[in-house]
Amino acid sequence: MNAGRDAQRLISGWLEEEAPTRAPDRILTSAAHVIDNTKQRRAWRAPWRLPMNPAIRVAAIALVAIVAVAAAISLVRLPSSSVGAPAASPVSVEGEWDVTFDRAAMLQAGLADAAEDNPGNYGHFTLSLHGGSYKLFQVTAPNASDSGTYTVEDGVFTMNTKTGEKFSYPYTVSGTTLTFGAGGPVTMRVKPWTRVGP
Amino acid sequence: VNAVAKLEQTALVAAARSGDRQAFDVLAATFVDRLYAIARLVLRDSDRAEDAVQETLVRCWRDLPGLREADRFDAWIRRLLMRAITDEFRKERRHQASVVVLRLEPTTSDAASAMLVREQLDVGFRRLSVDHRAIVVLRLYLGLSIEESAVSLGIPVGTAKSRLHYAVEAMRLALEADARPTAREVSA
Repeated sequence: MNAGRDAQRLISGWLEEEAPTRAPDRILTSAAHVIDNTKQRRAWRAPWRLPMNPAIRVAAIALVAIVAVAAAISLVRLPSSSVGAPAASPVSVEGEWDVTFDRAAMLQAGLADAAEDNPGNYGHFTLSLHGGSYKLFQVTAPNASDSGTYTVEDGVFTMNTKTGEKFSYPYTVSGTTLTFGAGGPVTMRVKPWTRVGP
Repeated sequence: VNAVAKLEQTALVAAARSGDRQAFDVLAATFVDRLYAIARLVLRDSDRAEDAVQETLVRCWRDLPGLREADRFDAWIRRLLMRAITDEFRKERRHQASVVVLRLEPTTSDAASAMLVREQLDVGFRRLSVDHRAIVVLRLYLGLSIEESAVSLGIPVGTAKSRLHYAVEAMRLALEADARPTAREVSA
């Protein structure tokens, strides 16, 4: 035991002697040059990581989903001269979508935390939803992008990012707009998305 | 830890996370000496240490928006550094081998003895894997707790304890080995 402690003391002293006290200046210079051409990765922020009782969170998501579904049903029934007609099939989320908003609109939508206030989270975006895969691309600088898979079930759109994170939003599709409710990263829910292609 | 300095650092991290390049440059300048010392100790090679630190800073800038808690920046950047060091260590070695000739100049017996001990420690340390070197540097140079070291390496505490025990024991045995080399051959 003592031999081990003695060895640790000896090693510790040796490391102190061996350690350089100053890094060469060229490290910072070289790193700065690379960083000048390196974009920061988009920050995906999950609101459910904020302090919140899990049971309340589930109930809130369920409530929002129920309200969204009820709203969707009532919209379908509005031109109700066709009462008794076969129920309309749900409108697919598949297609090409587009949205543009500025930082002020993003802040107004409410951030999950301060780190979402990032240039990669506002601007002009396209969202491609096809065959269970999504691709999100920021058309404006700094050209953030993300991709992964998604599922749609009971009015809830769930996206699984390649980094293993999972975000769920209640959503509605009406005409040419796709609207996400509270759930995941702010970018998806600031404004309704407009369909720009099949 | 200076609380004011910690608050300032947290503010810098938050700003850099939002894309403030000047804030990031200040942070990088604050950390670079310490990062380089760790990399140099683990890798035992100045060039590779520089590469590892540069890569760490670039990854830090790129991935900083993903750091959720700014006050955990220290542990986070240490982890980035350890990954970069491991990557650097595993790269094809630039030099097949280099020979370092010891200059055992006539000197007092105490000085010669101290030199021999340093030499034996160096030989013992170079024989360790990069994982074992890392835990030795974190624990015995930086003075981190075993828990903090484990977090920096992304390993369970039990594994960190085991690695440290093995590494110290291996270096102790190297010290006990009564070999007095006049020259040693080491891999770069």
